Amino acid sequence: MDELILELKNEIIETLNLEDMQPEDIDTDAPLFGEGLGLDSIDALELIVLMEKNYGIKLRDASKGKEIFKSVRVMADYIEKNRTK
Amino acid sequence: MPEIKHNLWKGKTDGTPWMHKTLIWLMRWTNLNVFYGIMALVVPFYMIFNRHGYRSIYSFFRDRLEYPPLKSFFNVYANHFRFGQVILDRFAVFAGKSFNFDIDNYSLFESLANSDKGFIILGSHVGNYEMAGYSLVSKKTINALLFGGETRAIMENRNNQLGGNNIKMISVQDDMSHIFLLNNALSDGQIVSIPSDRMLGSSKHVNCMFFGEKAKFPTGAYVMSIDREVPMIAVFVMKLSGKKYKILVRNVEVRQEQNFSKREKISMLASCFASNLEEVVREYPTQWFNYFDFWKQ
Repeated sequence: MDELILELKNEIIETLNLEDMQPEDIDTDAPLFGEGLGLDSIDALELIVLMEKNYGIKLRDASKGKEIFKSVRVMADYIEKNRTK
Repeated sequence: MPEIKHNLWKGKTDGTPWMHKTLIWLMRWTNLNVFYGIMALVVPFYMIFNRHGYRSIYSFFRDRLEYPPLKSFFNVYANHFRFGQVILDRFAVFAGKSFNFDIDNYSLFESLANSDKGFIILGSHVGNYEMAGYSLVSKKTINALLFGGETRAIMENRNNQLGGNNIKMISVQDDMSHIFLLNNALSDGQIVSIPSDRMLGSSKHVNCMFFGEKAKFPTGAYVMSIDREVPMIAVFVMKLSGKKYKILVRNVEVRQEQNFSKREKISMLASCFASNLEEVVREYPTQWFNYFDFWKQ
């Protein structure tokens, strides 16, 4: 799980172009949107595509997506259970 | 998700739902030119009382297009009158009236509409973009993103008129559910329409040269196009006369032969759109309907 969390943090930094950040700067349990990483709706789109392209997970339901994008840990947990790639 | 302050634009047509319904009812029985005539008389009052809008459009003609003061003043009147006509035309469609459309570069829209892939249409607040929904019709559903500020009467009428043309309205939501709907639509090979000249739902933007000065253009549509690997076109619907519109379809793309970074691609696509927009606005300056200082949004 720790390996996946690190991988995910690196992918988030790369995908969202968070140039000044290192994986250790991202709190594994902090909210991704709002007060945590402060991401917005365009970032959400990029995360949806990241989940699909890198892990084969298609997120179509907004309410489910909101749950999954709560934190890096929740995302990693979901990926581990549902990945097809 | 941080709240985006739409303090420059409320995304809402003026008037109450009762006024909208009455106007639609009256339009069923009255020639549209009568309403245009009333509009011509009302416009000076609108110019006097809507000082903020007047100043921004006057400054557009004076500073951006470098018109002399008197010419700028008359063009502000023409601009407000055109805007009034455009709004009346929308209600006229709700009342069952029809308009004529000439489409420039229709083959580009047709080829994309006939492919299996989804694509993105970039809209803007020039001319009467909403009218595209009545003429650019295809088998694919058009998912039109809009700011959810309109009244129920407007939305109901839009849905009644446009729903038959396979158009679905998607309002920007604080919970980001609109992003999922747009992403699903592109995955399913449908069309997504996004207003691309105003910040809507996200503050992410790039600065592009527009009328000689850098202006902010939202990046959402370009990110979506790159991530989902779907093409994009810009559509402008310009009013030519009482019953006639011209629809301009323009390609928005980057050269594929070079390996640009994602950020470079976003910037190039936005610049391509901005340059298309500027070209259209220079040809139809009285149909520029962003009533705020566009370069400070």
